Amino acid sequence: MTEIPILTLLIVIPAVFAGLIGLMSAESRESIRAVALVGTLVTFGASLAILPGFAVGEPGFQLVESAPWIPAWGVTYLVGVDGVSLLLVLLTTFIMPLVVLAAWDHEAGAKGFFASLLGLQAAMVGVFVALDLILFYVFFEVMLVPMYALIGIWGGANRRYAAVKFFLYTLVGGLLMLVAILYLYFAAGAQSFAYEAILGVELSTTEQTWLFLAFFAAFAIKVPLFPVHTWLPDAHTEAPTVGSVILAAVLLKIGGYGFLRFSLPYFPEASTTLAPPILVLAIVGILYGALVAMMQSDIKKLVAYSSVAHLGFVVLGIFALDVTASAGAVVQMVNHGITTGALFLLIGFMYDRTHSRVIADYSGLMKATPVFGGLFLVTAMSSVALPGLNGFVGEFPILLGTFQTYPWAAIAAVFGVILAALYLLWAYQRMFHGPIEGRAEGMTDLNAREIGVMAPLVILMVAIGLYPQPLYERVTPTVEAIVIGVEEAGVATEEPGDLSVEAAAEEDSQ
Amino acid sequence: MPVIPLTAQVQWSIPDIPWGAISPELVLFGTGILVLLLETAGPHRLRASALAFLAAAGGAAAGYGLTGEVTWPALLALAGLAQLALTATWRERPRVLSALLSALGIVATLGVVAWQWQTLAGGELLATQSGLADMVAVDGVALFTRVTVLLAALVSIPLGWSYLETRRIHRAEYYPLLLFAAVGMNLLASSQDLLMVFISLEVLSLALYILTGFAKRDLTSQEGALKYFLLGAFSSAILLYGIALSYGIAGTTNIPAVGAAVAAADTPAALAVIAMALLIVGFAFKTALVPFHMWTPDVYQGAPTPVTGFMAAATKAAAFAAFLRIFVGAMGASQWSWIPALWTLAAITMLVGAVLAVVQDDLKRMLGYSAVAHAGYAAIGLIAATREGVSGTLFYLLVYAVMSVGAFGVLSMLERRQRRAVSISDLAGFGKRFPVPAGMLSLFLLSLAGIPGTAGFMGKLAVFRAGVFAGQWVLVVIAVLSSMIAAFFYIRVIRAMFMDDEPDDLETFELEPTPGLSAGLAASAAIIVVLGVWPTVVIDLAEQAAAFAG
Repeated sequence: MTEIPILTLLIVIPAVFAGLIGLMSAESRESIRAVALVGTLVTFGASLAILPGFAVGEPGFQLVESAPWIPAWGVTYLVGVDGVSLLLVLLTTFIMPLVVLAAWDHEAGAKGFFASLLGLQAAMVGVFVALDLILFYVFFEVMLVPMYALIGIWGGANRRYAAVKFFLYTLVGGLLMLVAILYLYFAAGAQSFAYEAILGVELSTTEQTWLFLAFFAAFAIKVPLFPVHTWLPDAHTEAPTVGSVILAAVLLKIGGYGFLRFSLPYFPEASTTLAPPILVLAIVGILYGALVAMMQSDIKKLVAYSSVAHLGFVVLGIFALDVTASAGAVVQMVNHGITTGALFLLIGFMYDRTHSRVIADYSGLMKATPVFGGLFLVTAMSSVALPGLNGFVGEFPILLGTFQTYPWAAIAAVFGVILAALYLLWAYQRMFHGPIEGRAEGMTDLNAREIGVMAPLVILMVAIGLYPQPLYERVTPTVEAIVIGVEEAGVATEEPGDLSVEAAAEEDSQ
Repeated sequence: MPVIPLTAQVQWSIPDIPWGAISPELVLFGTGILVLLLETAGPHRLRASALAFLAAAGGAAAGYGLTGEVTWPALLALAGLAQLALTATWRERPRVLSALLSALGIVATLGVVAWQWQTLAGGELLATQSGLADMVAVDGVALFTRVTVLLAALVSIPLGWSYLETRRIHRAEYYPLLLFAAVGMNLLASSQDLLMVFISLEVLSLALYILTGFAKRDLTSQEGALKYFLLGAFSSAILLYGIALSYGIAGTTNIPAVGAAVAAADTPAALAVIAMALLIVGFAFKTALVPFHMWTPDVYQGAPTPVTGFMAAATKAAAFAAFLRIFVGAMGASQWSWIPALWTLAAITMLVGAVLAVVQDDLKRMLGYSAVAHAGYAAIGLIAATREGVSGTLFYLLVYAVMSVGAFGVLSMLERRQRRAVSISDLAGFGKRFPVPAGMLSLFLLSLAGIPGTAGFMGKLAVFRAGVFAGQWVLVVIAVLSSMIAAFFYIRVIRAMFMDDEPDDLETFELEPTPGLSAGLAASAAIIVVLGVWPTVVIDLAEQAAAFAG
């Protein structure tokens, strides 16, 4: 076999580059950031090599690589991609060079900073490609450490509180998931932690519900879903710009990914039963996020709360249990990564110049800094789902699909779309229009490097908005298989009613 | 039941001693004696040395007179002579010599253990083989625990050297005492007889009492030593009661025989339960299970820091090995009687240890309480009482030994800088000034918290998995809860080091890590990372070692 283990490389390359930075002298800031850029670019280049090998239209896992890891426990090193993870892996590898470029002028502790970024990237890719539950858990938790460092060391004034909160929230969810993983492993015969080995395991209704809730805890915190979202505004606001970008672009997606990868296929019955309350939470998140965003005086906080709302749409799409909506949710995850990532970058560029994120400090930015203003406008439009831009092609299918299965949810969510337009455009109007006043005075426009960072993002916004087909044709087969799986399991378990009672009784007697 | 006729002529026969079986202890013990002898040499110690020579010569003469043997007495006399000659001629003996010798002795012992593993396993699984009139078991549990103990001792040598030097309490006895404690632990891990358990426990405890009070001008050290001694003696007495009752039931102190007798139908249940309870309490003291943990924080705080690390790691490993052999191995048939008791102890231990650690400000105390919680995690494998459980506990203890020795090691470095106890707020800004030691401490703490990528996670996974296998769901959930609480205080330390700003009034200081210290810490850190990423080999060994639980 001379096939190149491309997915493994995507994990190994950033890790190796992180190690390389670890060996460099802390003084040589220029070479450190150059190494970081090269590392992320090489990874991105390598990730593009997945595309030709990926068969469009296949729902299952492709490019699977496996190696024994801890055979005594049935833990395997098993990686592979399907339509969903493919997009998220590419999103990760695409965002990272931009992130490094955006942090080009970072000074304090550059060595640890860039090493953390690359280490984080290795773990993020790992999360999306891992097909063994322990492997997944390892990446899921390892990610915490560099992110904790990014927020806590290089963040804003209240960074310590935000970092600890982020860490503990995610850890608590993760540990609950670990117990559920062990239970599944045991229920499946205790032979293997491989994703597909556990897929067919028979579970009683009670078991499904509890395990679903344990996984749900981990992913709902990650997404984050109302009411466990409270860590996110803190983390987003306090994190350094690139931290917020990564958080928004990739880390939050792990929650949505987890729902699709684990919750729905493993616990179809519980997913069906518990979908309505989850949809309610999602809608509460959408409306609440939007309303709170409207009240913010700090633009970064505003975007942070808008994330809560946007991710509410994603959860809505996933738990609508409809192919269109779920596919839309996956695409919307990518869109949100691009758009909200871009918003955080722009806010970061602005903050670097003026050291204020207060909306009221600005006026007339459109005149003062036309390039910045223009880019912000496009990004904001994408965020409010203007047709022709990427936000629309994600959000619209979500609403459409949800309307098929849960019309009430779709109707309620539409108000969220309206509110989104309201809070973001209102903020835009206050900051960018009017006479040049406050900190807008004397603010310099974006430089070439910053435009270079923004350009790929804006191009993607337009490109996906106009031609989302390549995304959908890769995602839909996978999502279809998942949703059909849930529906079939729902039908199958409805008939023998006493079976589950028996199983529950059996469990009690244990 | 065998009745020993007291009046009858007792036939003394020296049992056939399988030297191979206790070779690790012999090597360690020999090294200890050698180092001790060497230490008596020195310019001011001619008198002591002469006394030692006389004793050796007298012993040799007596030996020759009584047995007629020539070889052993001659060797003894020669040793005495050599020692006297050394004292007289070699006046400027470098202090590092004892440390080096001790380290070499431990490495040699590790080699012997490896040899034992090779020959006894023959590449296959080990069954319990007894030797020395059924006093000593040579099985996987013994071998694996020996490795754990020896690793901890090995790392403690350079850590201790630097620490004692800077605190100016460098006394020669440190190394022999460390070695003797290790001898006791090794023996405990391989005891196949309750009396042997008791003797080895005393050997290791006596050495540790002295080591705890090693900083003899430090009041907390003295307090710790006294507390440890009193409570240790107390727990030994309780254990001895348990042994006596077991003997009453079985008519023997041989562990498998006691197990069989306890399980026998005609044994009064009440008697068995009381005996078991006393044994459990005795061991719970040594392994610091709540509510028998009261001594830990004070002792851990008072003892010289490298000693604390060694004590926390190695004692626990050895005591758990005895726990495993007695309860899982011999009393497997009467699980009903001890599993509920241990279950309760473990559950309380995990929760109380974690909660109390949260409120500590002194780092050593915090790690002391966290050690309590970790004893609870290790106990999960014990309670599972399966092969997975035994291997899980063994693996966990190895991992815990490395991370705890490492964490206390970094702490000992800091203490030297501060010249006093270290509280969490003292660590503010430490990471910016000294990124490497701070990074190492973070690694050890993350490992203690069980974050994946470190050995701590693999250890937790091992015991949780064993718990799940044995259907101990509630216990696993409690362990997870405890881990959540525990994460908080580990994270808090990392936060202080890297995220808090240095106080303005801090005096400038330097850290001067000695090569030995750096090597010890680097090795611990490397083990943590390697076991976190690629634990396969060690897990396989642990599985092999657990063969006796079937």
